[in-house]
Amino acid sequence: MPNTSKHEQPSRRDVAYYRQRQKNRVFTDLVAFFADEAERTGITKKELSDLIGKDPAQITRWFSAPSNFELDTLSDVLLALGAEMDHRIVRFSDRSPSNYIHPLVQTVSVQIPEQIAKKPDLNKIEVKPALSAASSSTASVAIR
Amino acid sequence: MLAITHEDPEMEERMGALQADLELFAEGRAVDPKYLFRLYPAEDCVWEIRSVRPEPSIRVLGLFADRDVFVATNIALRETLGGWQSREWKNVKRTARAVWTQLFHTYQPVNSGNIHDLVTGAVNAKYFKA
Repeated sequence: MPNTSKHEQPSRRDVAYYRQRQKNRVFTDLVAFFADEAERTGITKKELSDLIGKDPAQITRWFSAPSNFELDTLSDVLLALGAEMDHRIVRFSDRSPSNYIHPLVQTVSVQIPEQIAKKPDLNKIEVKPALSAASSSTASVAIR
Repeated sequence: MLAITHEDPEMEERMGALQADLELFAEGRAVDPKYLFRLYPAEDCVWEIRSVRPEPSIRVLGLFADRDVFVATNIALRETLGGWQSREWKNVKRTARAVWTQLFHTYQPVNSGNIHDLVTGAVNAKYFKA
């Protein structure tokens, strides 16, 4: 059946990238929220495990590394913490460019696409995240 | 490694996941020692970013040019490195220093045992071996 969609099939790399990104974002938000709650209310992982009827070791596993959280699990954990997750779907085309190049990068020999390198204000340059792993002769700069 | 398209589809998927993991740093999300760790010896100022899942586990080595500015110098599969005092580890750390020197000459990386001198918003924890 011919593909009549206006959308292109994503590459395998993109599929893996966005899956991992989603896991990482949910994980970091959840861990940060729990840390805040632990500081604010004193709740412990043991108490959380009691609240949702899970083994404490399971809580430790969930909070140790990004994983493929089930939505039900995520809801249960957040409900026990008196919260829920809001969701927002964003078209890539609607995303505002958010990356910038640190002034220090001016002194670093990294490859910058020509069209953006011509912009006069380096603080406002929009670039894809500088993530490429380096060979022995090039390096990548990641800036928070 | 990230900049090229790999023929092996599994490697392509792994590179996608690695890119997402590296973005955690670039997005300014909270990092902890499971993600970022200073390698021994401390005076080399070489750090690793750990991209653990899916297998194979990957280590991205680099040094800090400034606070929140991590210069990734080289990459290694964890399974090829052996124990933390192995020759392989020494080699990849030496490569990291060599790439740094090639890029920055006499400009020294940030050398601090305080994670907050290096990364904004890092979780309070131990980021290095004693």
